[in-house]
Amino acid sequence: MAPPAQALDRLLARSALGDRRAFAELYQASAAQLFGVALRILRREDWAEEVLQECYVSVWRHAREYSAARAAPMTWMTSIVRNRCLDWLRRPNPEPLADEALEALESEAAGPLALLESGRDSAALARCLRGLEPKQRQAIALAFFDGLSHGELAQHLRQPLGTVKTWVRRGLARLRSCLETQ
Amino acid sequence: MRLSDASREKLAAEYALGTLRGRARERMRRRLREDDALARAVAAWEARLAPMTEAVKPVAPPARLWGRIEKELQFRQRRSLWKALGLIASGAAAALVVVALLLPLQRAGMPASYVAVLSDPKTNQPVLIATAQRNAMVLRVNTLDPKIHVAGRSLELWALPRGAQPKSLGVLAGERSDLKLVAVADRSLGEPREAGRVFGPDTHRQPALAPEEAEGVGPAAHPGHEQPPLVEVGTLGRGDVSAGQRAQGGRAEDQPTRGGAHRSPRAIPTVRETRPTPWLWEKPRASSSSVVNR
Repeated sequence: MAPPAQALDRLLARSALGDRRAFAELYQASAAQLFGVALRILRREDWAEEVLQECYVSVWRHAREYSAARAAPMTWMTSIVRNRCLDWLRRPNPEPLADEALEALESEAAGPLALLESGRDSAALARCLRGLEPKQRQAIALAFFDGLSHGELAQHLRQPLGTVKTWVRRGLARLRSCLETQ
Repeated sequence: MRLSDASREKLAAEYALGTLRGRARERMRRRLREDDALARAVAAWEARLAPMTEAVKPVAPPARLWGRIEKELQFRQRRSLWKALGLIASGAAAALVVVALLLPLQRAGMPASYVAVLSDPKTNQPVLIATAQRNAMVLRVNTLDPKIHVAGRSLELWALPRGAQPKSLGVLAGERSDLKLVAVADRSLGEPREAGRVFGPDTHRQPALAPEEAEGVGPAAHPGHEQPPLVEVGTLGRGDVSAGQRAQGGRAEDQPTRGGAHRSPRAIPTVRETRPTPWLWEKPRASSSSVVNR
């Protein structure tokens, strides 16, 4: 379970003031979650480790740019990590999706939703995800959790590129309108 | 080119989800720096999708990772400097010379503070730390090295607007003082960049400047904030006219920042003694100032 946003807020603010102990606490409180996110997208521990190192260095250096008004601390840090991971995947010779990884993804298709439903902040999102068509939900989940591009989604779901793009686009639009009525 | 609402929404959603890739993603990043509406749309989408990460199983990273981060940020090396905060440099108080810079620690739109670490340039040891919340009218000054307080002398904190006369912020009341600012820190401390001002043991012999120059620092004195003040500490000598009023241990309230006790600000430094001192958290050692030779 993610640590309370308020505590992370405080640690980030203290890090911005140059408090290294606070930064160490911030790392302790967030590293496992962020490592999980990076590992899921990159599928290689050494890469995830490298990306996480870059990200925490970046968090320390840009902590004063963090705006509590704009994002929750974990959201802000997760975005940094996901962005870095997606950049990383652009490098030459990214690891191809291993078959077993693919199978694991598919078998987990229902798993994350159950987890989301138990989450503090995520129950509404889980309800809205459940309201999507399964193919839309699957495309969005694969893109978010595993960092698949449209092309990779098309390949993985064995569908034409245009079809997959439409699923994602419609799925996102529906998700938004659903969340707004929650 | 202005984005239509529909394209902004679509770009923001796909950027946050991660399906916007390659050159399109890079273009988007450049655009985000300039297009605030787009940045808000992305932030909204990131917030909408963020709970999904709760479904990702946390995995403890290898223990060595923290060590690598510390090493890259040079925490290890800097730790020795920070340990030094507690050390007392012998004889440092004889000629107290302190140089500092007020750094706005966070940028626009954030809850922020101003912090200045004031160092004795002779020893390079931090001696005082001054902090103010952006919206507060109090500048808190805590002592890191008690030896800077010497019987018979008081410490006075000065704001140094660039290109303008120094202005007194008040006399320190002891190891922990709250100095009243004439306006909230954002207005009275502004956005200082660099500073440095040095006092020697005999500064009280310098001719006094006009008393009004020592009155409080505030927006009236800094129209448009173009001349951000900086902060430093100087000593007031035993022979000072107002030394009695400024005896060490006096309370800050007894030392108003306007008029009164500041009628004879004999410690105002001369321009000759000014030394710009860029001071960054990242590399404090590289930018410490030193005593001006007299």
